[in-house]
Amino acid sequence: MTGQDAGTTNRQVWRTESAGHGIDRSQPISFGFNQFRLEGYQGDTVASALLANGVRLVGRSFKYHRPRGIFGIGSEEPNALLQIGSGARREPNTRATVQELHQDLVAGSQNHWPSLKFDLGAMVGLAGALFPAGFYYKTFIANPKRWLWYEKHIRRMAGLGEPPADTDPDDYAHANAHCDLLIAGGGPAGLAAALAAGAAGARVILADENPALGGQLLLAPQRVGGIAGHAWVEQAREQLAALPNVRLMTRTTVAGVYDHGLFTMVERCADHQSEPDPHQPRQRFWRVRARKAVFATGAIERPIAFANNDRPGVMLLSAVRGYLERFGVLAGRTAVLFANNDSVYAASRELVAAGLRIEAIVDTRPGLSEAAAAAKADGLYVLSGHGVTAARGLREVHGADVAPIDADGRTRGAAKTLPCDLIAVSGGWNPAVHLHAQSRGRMAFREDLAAFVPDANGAPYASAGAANGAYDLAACLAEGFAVGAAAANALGLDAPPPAIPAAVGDPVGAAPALWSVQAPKGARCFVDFQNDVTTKDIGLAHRENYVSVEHLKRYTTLGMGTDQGKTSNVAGLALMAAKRGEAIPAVGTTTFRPPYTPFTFNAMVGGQTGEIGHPIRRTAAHDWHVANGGVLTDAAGWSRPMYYATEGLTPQQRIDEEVLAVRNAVGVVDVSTLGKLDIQGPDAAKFLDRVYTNRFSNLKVGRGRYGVMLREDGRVYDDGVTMRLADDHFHMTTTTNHSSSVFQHLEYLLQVVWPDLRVFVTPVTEQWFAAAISGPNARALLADLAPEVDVSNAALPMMGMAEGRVAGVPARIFRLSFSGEIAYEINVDADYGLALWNGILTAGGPHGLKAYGTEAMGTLRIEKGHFTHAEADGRITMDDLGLTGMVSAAKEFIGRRSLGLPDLVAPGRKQLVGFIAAEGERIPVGAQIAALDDLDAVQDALGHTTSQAYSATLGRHIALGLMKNGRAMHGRKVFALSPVLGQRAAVEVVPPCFFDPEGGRQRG
Amino acid sequence: MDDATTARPRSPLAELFLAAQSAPPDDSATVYVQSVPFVGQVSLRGRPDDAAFLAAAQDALGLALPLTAGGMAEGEAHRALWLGPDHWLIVTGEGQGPALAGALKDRLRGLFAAVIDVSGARMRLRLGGPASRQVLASGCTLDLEPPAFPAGHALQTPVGNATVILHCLDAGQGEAEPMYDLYLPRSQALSFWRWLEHAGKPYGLSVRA
Amino acid sequence: MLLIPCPWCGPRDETEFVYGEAAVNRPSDPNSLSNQEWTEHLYFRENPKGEHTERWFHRAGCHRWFSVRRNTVTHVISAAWPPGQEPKP
Repeated sequence: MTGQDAGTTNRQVWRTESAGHGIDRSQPISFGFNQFRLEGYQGDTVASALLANGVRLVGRSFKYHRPRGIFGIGSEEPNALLQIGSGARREPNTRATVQELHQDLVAGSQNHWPSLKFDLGAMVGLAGALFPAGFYYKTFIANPKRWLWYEKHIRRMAGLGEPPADTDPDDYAHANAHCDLLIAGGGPAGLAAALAAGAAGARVILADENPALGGQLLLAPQRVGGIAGHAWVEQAREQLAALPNVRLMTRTTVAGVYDHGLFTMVERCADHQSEPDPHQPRQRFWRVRARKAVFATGAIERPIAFANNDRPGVMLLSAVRGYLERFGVLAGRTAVLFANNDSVYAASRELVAAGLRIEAIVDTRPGLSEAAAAAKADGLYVLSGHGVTAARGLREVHGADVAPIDADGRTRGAAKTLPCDLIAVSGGWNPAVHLHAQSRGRMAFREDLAAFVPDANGAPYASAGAANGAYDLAACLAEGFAVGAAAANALGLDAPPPAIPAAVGDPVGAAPALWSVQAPKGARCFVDFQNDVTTKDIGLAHRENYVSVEHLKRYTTLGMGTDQGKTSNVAGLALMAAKRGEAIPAVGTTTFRPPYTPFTFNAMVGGQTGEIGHPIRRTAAHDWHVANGGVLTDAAGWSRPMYYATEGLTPQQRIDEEVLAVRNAVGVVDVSTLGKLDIQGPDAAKFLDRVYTNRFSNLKVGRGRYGVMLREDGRVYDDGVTMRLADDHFHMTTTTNHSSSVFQHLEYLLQVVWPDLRVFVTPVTEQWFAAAISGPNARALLADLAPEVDVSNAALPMMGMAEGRVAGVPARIFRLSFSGEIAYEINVDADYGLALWNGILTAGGPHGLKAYGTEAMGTLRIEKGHFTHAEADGRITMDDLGLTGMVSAAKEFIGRRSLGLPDLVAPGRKQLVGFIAAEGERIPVGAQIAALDDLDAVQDALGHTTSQAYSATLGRHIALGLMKNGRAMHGRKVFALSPVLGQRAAVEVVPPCFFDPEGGRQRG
Repeated sequence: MDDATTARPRSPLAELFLAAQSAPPDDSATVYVQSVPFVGQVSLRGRPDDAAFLAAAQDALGLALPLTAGGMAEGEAHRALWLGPDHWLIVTGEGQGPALAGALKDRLRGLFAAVIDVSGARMRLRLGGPASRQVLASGCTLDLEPPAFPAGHALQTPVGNATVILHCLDAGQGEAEPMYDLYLPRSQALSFWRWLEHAGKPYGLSVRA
Repeated sequence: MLLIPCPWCGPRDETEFVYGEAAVNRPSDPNSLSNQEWTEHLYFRENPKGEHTERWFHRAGCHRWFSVRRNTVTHVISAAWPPGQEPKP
């Protein structure tokens, strides 16, 4: 009977002659399953097509490698996990029940080795010995080294499928949407809610995870408004599709509920095709802001556990009905139906009519319900007060042991074996409360349904239909219309009174709680198929005192995995409640977290990879940097050249050239990335006095000053030069790193702390392209570039400024120096940045100009002892940097109050110093400063290095660093050690300025 | 490379649009993008409760500054886009930024106000076509449908991987197609372009020179 | 993901904002405080389970700072106001 034996095409032996309104028999589809070529129809899922071909055994289980088949019909499926596709498109752990069939689909079983039929792990029972409940905890917490021995075995035995072989070739997308009402689930209740709210004019999004709307109406013959359920669905769909305010989305799962009306959805745009249409995404990740929501997510049928209930051929009763109704597939030839509710009798009539032989209907309830009596009168063999105690068969069911049982599932008599190849089981339903629970709604336990239902009290969103415990079709529709209209009315719309169609559904009746039937000794009764958790595991957890459901979950892995326990959670906690002798609600549920069903990381990423997801900021001269060998680095989101590579030179040689050009001739560097703030207003100078440690109110117009800002706690925050353009107008520069945070800080002070100050701060970083030319020849170069500007030392001294055309471009010229040489920072409208840059390069030739990058710039500033964020790391004070001279005692400023705090004036603080290496020695990156030249000795660090470079100017390796009482240590011989790198250097402590400490060069 | 002496402005997406000029038009595209480079832009600051400032600005610009979020005012020569309660972006003709800034400064002299030419800070892209709203919405958390975002609405918000000023020129009701202007930080123009290419791919993004 | 009601721009996605810690006011005269009082202002914060007043900055919008009263358990935002305009409870 297994398809593996058949091995030929189009033997849809289990397809019925009629039925199957969901498939198109005129469109056969050929697909592959393991080594076989099979055929199904357009509209099939992989599961329905496999069943049509009589394939029962589809995979092996996670831990015990037991044979497994198809259990359900939708996203609740715990068992039938397949790998779909091949190569880069291979996707493991796909539920066969939701994967739509398409031409040339390739499906494969997981967890079998060497083959599906013959699995070594299952044969030798190795897996069984390996994984009792709590296995990981007991084995590896007690003795972590055991992992080394177990790992290779576990890696082969466990795990779910194989990852794809290569990078995903498909594209993914994001989308955002807003609506008045989001409806999750397009079954009868969801459709009714959409009809009611849509008619009122509400903006509605109706999302359903299935390829077609209709939910349960598609899976059993029911009647709505005098027509077949599936026909009414089509009518409702057409009605809704005609409304411009309603968006219908199929193949779309509402995955998560978040704060303030945010929902995430995953739309599977092309999973039903072998590959996406050209330029179209495979999946789209939606973020929806909804004012109201209705959860009409239906209910999930639950099994009753019995011995070997995981055998292929044991299925949910609703699934068996659904495969017949929607796909025209009979899931067996001879069946035992096993239920605790009346749905089994309606099902039996459909199944018998389709040709299924029913060996017996095993009803756990004592006595005969009306429906049971009717079935009996029709000649069906009804065993009331009985249960299935065990499934017979190994790779598939070939019999069911049936015995009288009591209300708790204990056997009360001898079992007899009934021959069958299908056991269809129904233990009642659990409302799919997941989204309600994610929205922080509480749960109520309804004894009559033996199920948790949403507690409407305090819930932010409504639930309707089976998701709300209303299993009856008429009640589903009524609730749907009611919540849809209520949502519209609450939004101030006017919902017309709905015309609720008459409905004839299944009489469901009561489903008394029964979670498992007593099993013969030593047999396994599975609660969670996907994680191979048995009733015995739950008992073991209880004995070992893992009695909280959250602990039970983690100890046994119950409810984990791709199905998140949709068919098993309630049963698991009910069994725990029984062990504890408590009522189910007292035990409670585990936390429901997003997503409702698994989706790929790629969907969430939505194609926002590379530069799209990590944008790069470029200056106006970026293309020139790239074209001229610039080796780029990321600097606070900007792309900057570290140095310009030249053939035949090492990076260090090239950096040395750039450094020496600045020291001996002239260099140009792109400094556009510095933060720039325009500060204007009558109180601008007063404001700057309050944010910098030094005074700006006495700065002359046309002059600049270097300033340092502190945080309120007295530590150094940021620094830069601010130019005074007019009495009430300043141009502030910040470090590249802090440009946006300084702006926020200044706005905070102006808006919250000192709203009386009349100052406007406007970020203008993007407006200006800035190039700094520096070196002994800088003035001569500027004179060539800006013939209209008087560049003499008298007219344009250090910290002076000028305006005029540079290389033909209107510019602001600031004379300031980071390198210690004569230097000018030329600022122009960024649209003209490249024109300026090219102009400088062209004019610079005769002056020996070289462009330099951030490495040379860093070396030049280390030589000069200028600090950056490497030194001012958030702990450092002005005194630590030796800058107390810049701290005004005569005014208030942010951070001043903290300067006298005990920790800031404590002796022994680290202070900024320089280190110069002995001839030929190289100071390791990130070195500790120590007294002993011993990488292995345990010794106190005297300090650490913060920046280091090879100084071509000095011919030595140098560093800046922080050292305890550093200023008193000048002249000391110490050692820079990096035990991590295994490197060391002998260094001398020196003042933190290695070159031209008097600063004569830059003023020259 | 440009000759240094001519000092021409250059858009951060210049080469992309140059390449697009020579490409054949894509008739199947449902969204198009167009570059409008070197639009004159001036940042204007002033307090909304300062009647003298508002009057002077209106006098200089020929329009009343919008005073609420999303507001946009259009005069004969300029547009004013609300950026914050004391901040407007004045948009004017190509290359007119410095001249407008100068005129505004003169008119507002003595008042508490700040005028800055920011023509180089942002570049303008125009996005249009039947799918243009969907493309924007894929990277924007605002409700872009009318009436939430009608024609004439303008505000600053993240779109894709950049924070842009988004101005709806046409909300695309009835027979009309939606059309938007986007003002993006020039340093992020190319990264934003990469986002736009990806977001527009399913709709056949075409580039109009 | 919060939807934060900017007093100027209306509700916007949390990603548009920068969190600016609890809404603690800077003492008008720090010098009048003892070291103890000043360091408490600098470093000590309530961490309430429930109503919390905090500041946000609308970085990707209007560049305004404002205060928000948010319940740290439910994330319900009950009020938002510009600096100095706290509504009466």
